[in-house]
Amino acid sequence: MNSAIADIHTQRTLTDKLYRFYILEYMSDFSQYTTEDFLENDSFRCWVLSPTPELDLFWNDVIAQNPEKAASIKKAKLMLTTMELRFKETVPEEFMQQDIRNIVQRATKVVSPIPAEPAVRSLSFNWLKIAASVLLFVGAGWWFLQRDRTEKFVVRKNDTNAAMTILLEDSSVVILQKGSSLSYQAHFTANKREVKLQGEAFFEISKNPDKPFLVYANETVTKVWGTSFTIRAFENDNTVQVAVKTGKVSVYSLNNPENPAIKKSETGEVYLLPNQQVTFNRTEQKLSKTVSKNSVEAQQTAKTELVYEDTPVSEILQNLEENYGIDIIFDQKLLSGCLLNTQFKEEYLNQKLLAICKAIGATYEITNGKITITSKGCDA
Amino acid sequence: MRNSQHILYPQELDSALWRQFKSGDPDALGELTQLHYRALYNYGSKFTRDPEFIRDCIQELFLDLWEKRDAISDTDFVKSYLFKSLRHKIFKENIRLKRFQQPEELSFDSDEYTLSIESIIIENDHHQQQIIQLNQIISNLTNRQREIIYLRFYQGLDYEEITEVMGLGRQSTANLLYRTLKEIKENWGIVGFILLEALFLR
Repeated sequence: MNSAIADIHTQRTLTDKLYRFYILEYMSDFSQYTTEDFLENDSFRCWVLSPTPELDLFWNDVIAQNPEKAASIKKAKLMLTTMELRFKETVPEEFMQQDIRNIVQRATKVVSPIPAEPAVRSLSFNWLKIAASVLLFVGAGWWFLQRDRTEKFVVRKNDTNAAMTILLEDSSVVILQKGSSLSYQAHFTANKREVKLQGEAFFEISKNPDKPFLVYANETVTKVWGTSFTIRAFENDNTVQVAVKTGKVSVYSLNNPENPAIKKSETGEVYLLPNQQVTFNRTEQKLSKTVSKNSVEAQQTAKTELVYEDTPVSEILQNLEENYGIDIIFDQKLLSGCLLNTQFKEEYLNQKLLAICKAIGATYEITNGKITITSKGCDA
Repeated sequence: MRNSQHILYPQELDSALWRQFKSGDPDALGELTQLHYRALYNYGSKFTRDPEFIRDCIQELFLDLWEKRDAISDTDFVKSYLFKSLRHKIFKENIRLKRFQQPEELSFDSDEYTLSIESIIIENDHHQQQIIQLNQIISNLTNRQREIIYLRFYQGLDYEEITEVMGLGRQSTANLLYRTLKEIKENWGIVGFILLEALFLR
């Protein structure tokens, strides 16, 4: 489950995974925990070894609510800190990269006569099977849903001169560039989230391991579970570009753009890590991977680090409104009485919202592209 | 985030990458290596102090896997599979190079370790003392005991994965971990716990 890497990619996914722990641990009862129980707890270990603002928020709260556990927590912390000091041992980055290149080079030399041929075939076969089952599943699901309500498709086109922010119901954020359009289901289906893009957009997709997020853009499909990335796919361009900022995405092409779900003979599938980019050449129907050189800017949202000290929640929410260009509905008077110490860096919108809500005992809801915060306020 | 050696990543992606690797994609091989290199290096460094040797073993490990990728099975536990393979490789190579006398036992992080005080930037002196003491307790454990706490708490492997890596039975794994924690607690308790309770339970 865990691994030891310090590159940005895993730093990112670390936060994603921790975030899931955060939610899981939410329900736990710590009053019965022993030192060993804390040591065994993944979320706890991560808090000690590589803390994040969310984990700080969460575990400080646990400590505050279980003061009798302070000694056990302290012991477990000391144990882990000792191990960290004792066991850490790193390899210089350049040695590692050199070895990895070496491995790939030596491996590809051995198979060079018929390089990717069998791989593609078996991949296609797998995909065929997957496609068939997905089709069956989607078909069944669609039929099921169809009985209750008709599918509502929303199309948003950005005719303005500025970027347009769209908030989806799963709290994913899409920043649509001018001259681009995005169509999506008003309500995502049970097993996946699908949108169709024409033009260029930056995506910040909320984590949901059970519901992959699929972006169809010209002849390509980009599949993610929770990451941020940019896609540039204008109808008249000869290329489709996908650049990853955080997390990991997979990109594959579909030969038949009219009926992508049925004809599944891809020309391959490419995995992308942060700062990597793939370009799909539409004439040659080929995917090629490069390191992003700002040809498509992966980074688009205002990602300055925000530190709040005893800041009214109303002010933090206003900042979020401005940063994301999204409406947040809340009781100004009520929430100005809630003070918060927190720090936001790379978290996604839903992580920020959850952290704030958890801290002040509030809840949030997304309807019609707007966020509504429900809170009873804080007793000063 | 501190120079982390223990990182979590979605297991489903790891399994997907593994399948792609098995289908013969050299990109997947590179990414798999990238993903696990640091953890493997760190683990390897516990068996030997020779960095070149560890690097060679890791490279051979991945090339071996690549060559016999058709024969290896799908696994959801890629990390423990790699750990097991590296452990095995280091063990075999050590015997071949006649590096140690008793091939029954791999020594695990057994050098006498003194943590330099400067390296411990912790809240207060009392904690420094505690850490130095704990480190001594860890040094006094057996190789297997050290390895199991390393795999469980530092690398975050679960029981099943540890069972695979160390080649122990499930029950033995559970017993070994339980005994080790008990031992640490008892030894630490002699001085440490008393001070600690006094400090934190005012």
